[in-house]
Amino acid sequence: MNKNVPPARRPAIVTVLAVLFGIETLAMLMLSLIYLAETGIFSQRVADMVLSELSDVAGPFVVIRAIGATALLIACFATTIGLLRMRRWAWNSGMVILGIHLAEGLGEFVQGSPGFGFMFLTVLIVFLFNQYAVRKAFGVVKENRVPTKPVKRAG
Amino acid sequence: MSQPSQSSAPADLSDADLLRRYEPVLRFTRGEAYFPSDIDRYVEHCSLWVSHVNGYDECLIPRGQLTLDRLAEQRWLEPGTVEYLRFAADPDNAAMPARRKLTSGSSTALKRGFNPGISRLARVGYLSRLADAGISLSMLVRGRVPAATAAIAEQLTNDIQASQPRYRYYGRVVREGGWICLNYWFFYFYDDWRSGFDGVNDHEADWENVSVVLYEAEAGRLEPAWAVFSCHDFTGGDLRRRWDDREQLEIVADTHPVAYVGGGSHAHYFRPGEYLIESEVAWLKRLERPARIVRRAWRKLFGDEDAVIEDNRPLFAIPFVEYARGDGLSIGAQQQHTWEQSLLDPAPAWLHDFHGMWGMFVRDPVGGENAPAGPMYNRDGQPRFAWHSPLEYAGLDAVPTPAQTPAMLDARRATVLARRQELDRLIADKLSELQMLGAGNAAVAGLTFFQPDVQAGERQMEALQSDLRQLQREQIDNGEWLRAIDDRVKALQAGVVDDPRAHIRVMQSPLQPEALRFGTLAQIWSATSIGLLLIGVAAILMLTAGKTALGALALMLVIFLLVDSAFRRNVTSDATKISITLAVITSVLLIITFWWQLSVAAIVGIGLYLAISNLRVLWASARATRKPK
Repeated sequence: MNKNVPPARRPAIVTVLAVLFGIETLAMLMLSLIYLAETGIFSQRVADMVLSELSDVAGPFVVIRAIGATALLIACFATTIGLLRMRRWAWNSGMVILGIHLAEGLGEFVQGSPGFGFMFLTVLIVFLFNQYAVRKAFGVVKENRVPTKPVKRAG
Repeated sequence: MSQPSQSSAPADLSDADLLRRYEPVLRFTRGEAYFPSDIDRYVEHCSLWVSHVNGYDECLIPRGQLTLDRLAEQRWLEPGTVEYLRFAADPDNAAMPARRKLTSGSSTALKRGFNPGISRLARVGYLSRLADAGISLSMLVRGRVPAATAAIAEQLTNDIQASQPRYRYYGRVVREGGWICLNYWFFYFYDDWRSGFDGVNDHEADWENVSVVLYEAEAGRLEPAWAVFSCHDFTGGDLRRRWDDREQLEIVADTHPVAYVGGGSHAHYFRPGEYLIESEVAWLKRLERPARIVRRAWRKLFGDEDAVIEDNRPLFAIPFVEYARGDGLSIGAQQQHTWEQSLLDPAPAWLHDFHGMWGMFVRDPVGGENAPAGPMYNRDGQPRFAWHSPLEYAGLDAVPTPAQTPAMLDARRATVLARRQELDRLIADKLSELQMLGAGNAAVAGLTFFQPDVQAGERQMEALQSDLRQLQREQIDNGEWLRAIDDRVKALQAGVVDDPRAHIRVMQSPLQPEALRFGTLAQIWSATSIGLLLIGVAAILMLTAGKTALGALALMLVIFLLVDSAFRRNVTSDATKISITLAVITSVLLIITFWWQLSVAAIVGIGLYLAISNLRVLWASARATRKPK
């Protein structure tokens, strides 16, 4: 690798994006804690503290949910770091994670217990993720399939 | 005088010789059973029928008694009736061995050596597969050519060709607008695109055409300029390639353009290979405009530059794979088989007097399974564009020949110049009139008595100013026109050659081999996924209800899409699309739920913005005032 090439400067919008994604990660952390507390892996004192501080939303299949939420938390955390370091995989994984969050949000909406704040935050992040400047910064701008010369109409 | 090229021809050649000199080479796909042949042998094996408005079918001339002359006889028919021929579908053929030999589900093209390669369904997306399933199901209720007909047609064709193999084209020469269009028409006994090559339709009889377009380059010499190949229902410039574009147009022995014929469909292609053909869904066309508006909004919102070419393509289309490999039989100059020629000039009686269909009429409302009419007519009896206006059909009606172009440009230049001189005079007159009015108005402006006249004068001046602006605008445009024409003339004189593909809007290109990397598993998945999806939907609807069913359906759909994406190595891109779609749905829900709060927030936002910008202006002007002079 050429050491003389200066690292790409991170645009402000990417920093904002990473911060917002970090907030989403914190929300995931809280959710994971709730699920993990429900599984009983914490001591009773810690579990009581978590469950009294945060609302008890865990339902059936709590172990599966806890594993899923923890995996998502780890992915969120890694993605936040990747976004700050402007890695292309972070953009891709970010879109997948946001898709899962949106599906979850819509599921909750249909079930009648929507988390509007979380939904709003996720939509905002998806919008920012797909801004041209952001996609360009992460190198995910689609290749231009338009011919290089102008195409004239018949004649 | 320049040396005539190898591809040129003397202008005094007869039409028959001209047609001979440029007759195309047709290269077929291995597995093809039908080749251009003669209509008289076909008609001899047909019966003539009429379908009455009440649905009753009547045989007018039985098989064995029909000839081209009898076909052309004028018959009185009530409006709404359809005349048609029956070839394989003739009731006399019902007992043919081919009918009994039919093996279920096995394409006859496969038996003839056709190898479809990667499954057609594996090459297209989910929506296309769903639409394909819809078309397959629609065949159950639509009129369709029965499966046995294809087998009988093949046997009959083999029998006819075995007795005396003949490959024939029907040619004519059309001289129009300085162009000389050599028009070759090919007649096929049967089109087995659906039953043989997984295409859209089957029908008895098929008329296709190829044209070579010449012009008189210099006195006594004709030069070929374009090759035009018919391809399904496409029309316009996309159908033609310039003679010197050798990347796109293959030519044998300097004068014979090569057309690669689609398996079963007999559509023509310029390059060998497999093509993804998009069949437009007519009843979804009305959704195209709003869908394009959404796409444009999306592009603007997210700066997605993916697409001028996409705008040229239909949005709602079902892709089919067309096999035009050229690895089968070939006909023409220096090929295994040569052409026999029939001239259509003067037009024989059967050509203009028989308006009916050249094969079985199956009452398909979409039309694809009904046989076509002759070269002159469409299925509905209306004049066929490709016959009556071959230049317009190929998008050449607005194109002068290279020999005519300088004179055309001169004529255009003279017109623009004349208008320019006229505009100079008009502008000077208007300006003078305007100044005169202005001077008069200024003289009486202060006199109360003349106020009504002053106001009328002002109105007149406004109208004059508007006229003057229009004339001046036209004058500027004319100046640009003149410069462009002069540049064009200079370029032509310098021998600058135009881009040979500038007229092409959608370039049909063979599928690239790297796009076809699929495993057997992927093909099995693509063949079964739609069926499995429908079974899954039924299972969910039976086992669950209400919101759970909705969630389960959505989850299943996403899983199916992601599995499909995984096979296509497209997970990231498809996951992004799914996420964006979910974001749009969520946004709509949020807007509906919080419309009042969002409206208030928007008003507050606008208020704050206005207040801050006004304060900034105030602050800037205060600072400027405080600054010592």
